[in-house]
Amino acid sequence: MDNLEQVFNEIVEQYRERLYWHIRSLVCSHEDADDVLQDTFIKIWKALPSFRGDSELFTWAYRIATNESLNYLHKQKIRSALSFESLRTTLENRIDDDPWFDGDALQRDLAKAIQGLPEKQRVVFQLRYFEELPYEQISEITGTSVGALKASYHIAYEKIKEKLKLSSL
Amino acid sequence: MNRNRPYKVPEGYFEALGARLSEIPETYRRPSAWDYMRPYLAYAALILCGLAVGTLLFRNPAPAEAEGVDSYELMYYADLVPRTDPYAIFDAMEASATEVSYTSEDIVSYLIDSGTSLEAINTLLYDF
Repeated sequence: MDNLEQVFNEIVEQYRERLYWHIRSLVCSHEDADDVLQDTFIKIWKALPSFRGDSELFTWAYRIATNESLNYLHKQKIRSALSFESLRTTLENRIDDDPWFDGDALQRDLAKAIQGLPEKQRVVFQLRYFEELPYEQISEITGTSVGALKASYHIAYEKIKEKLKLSSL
Repeated sequence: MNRNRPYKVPEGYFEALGARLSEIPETYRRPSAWDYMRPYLAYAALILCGLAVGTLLFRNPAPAEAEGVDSYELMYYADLVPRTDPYAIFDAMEASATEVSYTSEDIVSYLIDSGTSLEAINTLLYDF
C-alpha cells in the first residue's frame, strides 16, 4: 500500500460519516447521498496527489463534497425542468417519501423550508446551523467572504423562521 | 429546536461504506510512469521503424563501376601517361572505348619518349 492510499484510507476513516451527513442534508435522500458520497471519494482519490496542503484536509474534502452535491442538484434541476416540476417540489416530495427520515413534524417542516432556500443560503445554513462550523472555515469551503456568509445565514434564518411560522398556523 | 439531523441510515451502513470506499484506490488505479511513457515510446519506435525502412528503400547506392577503383590504382595508371605528352591520357580514354591495337612503332616511340636507352630498346626488340 503506498503513501497516498494510506492518506486516502485515513480520510475515509475520519470523514466518511461527516461528509455523508453533509451531503445528505443537501440532497435529502439516502440513496442520492450514497451516490454523491461515492463520487466525492472518487474525486478525492483522483485529486489527492495535487493536494498541496494550502487548506486543511477536512476543508478540502468538504469543498469537494459540497461541489459534488451542488452538481448533483443542478442535474436534478434540469430533470425537474424537463418534467415541469420545480426542484423544490421534487426535494420536498423526497423528504415525504424518504423511508430514512427520522424526524417529527416540525423537523420535517424545517427540512422542507431548508430545501426551499437558494443554493448558497442552503449550504451556509447547513454548515452553520447543523455542523456549527466557524464562518472562517465555511468561507474556505465555499470560497465566499465571511461578511457575505454572515449576511446569507441571517437571511436564510429569517426566511426559515417565517416559513415555520406560516406552517404552524 | 433539536439540531440533530432528522435522518437515519440503514443498519451497519457506515461499516459497509468504509469497506466499499477503501476499494476506490484499487478500482481507480493511478497510471504508473510506465503507463504514461508507453504511448510515447510506441510513437518513437514507429518513427524509428519508418526511418529505417525509408533508408533501406530510398538510399542512393554508389555506382557499381566506381567500386574497387581505389586511389592507388588511379596513381598507377597515371604513371603510364608520358611526361612529354600528358594529353595522351585523353586519347587513351577514347581509345579504350574503341578497339585499338598498338604497332611496334608506337611501342618504340613510347619507349624513346619515356627515356629508355637505345640498348634497352634493342634488347627488348630482340627478346620479342
